[in-house]
Amino acid sequence: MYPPLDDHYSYPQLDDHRSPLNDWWVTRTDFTNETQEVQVQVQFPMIDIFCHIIDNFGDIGVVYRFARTMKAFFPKTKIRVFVDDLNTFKSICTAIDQHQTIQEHEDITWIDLTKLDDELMKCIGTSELVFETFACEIPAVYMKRAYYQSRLLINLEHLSAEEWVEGYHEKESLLPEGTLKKYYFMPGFNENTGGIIPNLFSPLAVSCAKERLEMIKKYIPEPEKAVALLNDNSIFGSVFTYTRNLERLLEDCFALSKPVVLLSFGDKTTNSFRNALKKLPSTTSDAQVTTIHNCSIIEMQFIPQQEYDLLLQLMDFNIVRGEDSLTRAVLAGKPFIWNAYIQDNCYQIVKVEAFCSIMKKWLGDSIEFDEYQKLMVAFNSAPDESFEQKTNESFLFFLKNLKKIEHSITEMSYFMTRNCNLIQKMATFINDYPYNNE
Amino acid sequence: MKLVEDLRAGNTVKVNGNLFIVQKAIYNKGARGASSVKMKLKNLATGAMSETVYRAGEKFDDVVLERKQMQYLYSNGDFYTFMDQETYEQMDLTKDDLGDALNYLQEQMIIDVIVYEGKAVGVELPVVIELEITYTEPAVRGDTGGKVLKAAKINTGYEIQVPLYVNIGDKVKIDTRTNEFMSRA
Repeated sequence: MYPPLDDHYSYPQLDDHRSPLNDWWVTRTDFTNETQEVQVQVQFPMIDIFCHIIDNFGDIGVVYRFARTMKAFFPKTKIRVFVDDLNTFKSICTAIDQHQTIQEHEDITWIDLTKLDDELMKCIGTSELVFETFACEIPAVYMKRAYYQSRLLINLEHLSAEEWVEGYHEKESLLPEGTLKKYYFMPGFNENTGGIIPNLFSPLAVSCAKERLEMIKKYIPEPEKAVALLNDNSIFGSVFTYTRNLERLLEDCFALSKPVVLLSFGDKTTNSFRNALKKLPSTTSDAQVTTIHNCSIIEMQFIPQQEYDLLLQLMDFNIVRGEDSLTRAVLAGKPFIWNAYIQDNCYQIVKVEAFCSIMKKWLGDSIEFDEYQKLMVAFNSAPDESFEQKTNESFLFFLKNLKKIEHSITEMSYFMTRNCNLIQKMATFINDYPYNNE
Repeated sequence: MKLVEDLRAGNTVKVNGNLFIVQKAIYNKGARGASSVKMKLKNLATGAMSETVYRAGEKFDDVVLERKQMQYLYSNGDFYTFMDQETYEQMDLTKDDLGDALNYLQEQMIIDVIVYEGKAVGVELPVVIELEITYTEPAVRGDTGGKVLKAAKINTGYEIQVPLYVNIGDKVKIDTRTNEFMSRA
């Protein structure tokens, strides 16, 4: 499944262990460095992370992953996450009780940010290292203490492939009072940025197509209903988009000579598929599986982040949306198409073009990159979320070149894993921070 | 109070008890509608420069320092010399002191020079400035859709983006905060 490692790349120390979430063997990649870990433990025994949820699951999805990954790398550090919408968080982490002000889950303390007042602050205090995510506003009741009691405030920004990000990375942001220092940390796709949050479980070792099929079946509710198209020879794709027109995707899948199985994630994708399917004749469907021509569309239940990460690695291609899923698609090393968050005046096109310029470094020599970029830009050219978007993308080039694209994206994923590990970069920044000289 | 996105070269702000003069301000649109501003600031007490970043919407205490209307006379490479219009006193500024204002500076131009403790520390440009286009490629027939822009040099040598209908010799209005074309003058 993955090419052999070359002289220039070797995985960090690998510890085999059985994933708690699955009943097959996976390989856990242990990036932690003992010295680094101890330094951070000594300097910052506790980390506070603040998250303001705007819409969808973009903010909390990244914060949830960031908190869990930090915990995995720095197990001795206490991590507290302040979230202002536990109801939304519960959607991606069902163990959360939205009525609890403070609760423990996955060895992380989760605090309802809406309940944060002077009384609660007297009990919980501040930490020396504080993260605000995506420039969310930390409540004054916390900040009035943090200005004088905390040491370092880091704003973890949105991921972007744009060049200007490098100039903003690790830059100070002056604060109005106190001794606290604030810095911007800019995730990105090269060594001069903050990098991307790594997968905790990677890569997946799959020996043959049959084994892969068995693994995929474990994720599919009632796989016997889609059994006709679930075979070794099928093309498997995951689809996780904003609300959009998916008719072209279906039409281009129909044009393939192989069976195609599309796994639909999230309400927006599922509703988009349902809308597209309404216009097609001869559809057989039940509650979760729709089969038409050579395609089966399977409506997937919500699955935990780490299982989604693994599933992406089992697919032939992935269509992903937003920031966190894009990162997972890159690290999965499989061909993908990105549905960027729609912004005013179609500004997402600027983001997509910037990302394509990064992709070109890997894909430029193996395929006609212009065709791939055309698809990415067209797929993102809608001004708003709607079932009736008039975008003119064609997926055929992409679908017919999956193997070539996969080879290049696997290389990209190796590069990102080796050179752009956000947690390692964050730890280095924190450890290099000159508080000992103050 | 002033929003960070409204700050431009020459503005003075007070942060945590320190006075800073803005030398450069760059606005960038982030993901999901969030934007940020990178500023090069000079600490007026220590002279130390720092590159800093803020989210759009953050507010600053802006401080109005003494300013004098002065005429830009000439540059000898390292220094840019200005003359007080009333006293004929001359003051020098460095390239760093001028920051983004350098993009629009022309000899004989009358401009506000900011003075702190008797010393010139920067200049403040008007928000809107009129300059002449000295070079731009002619528009291509038919290529006139919506927001298409082309590069154009103004008479200070600085390059901006202008609509296709703008030609050499046109005088244009530019927003000095964003370096964006506003209209023909």
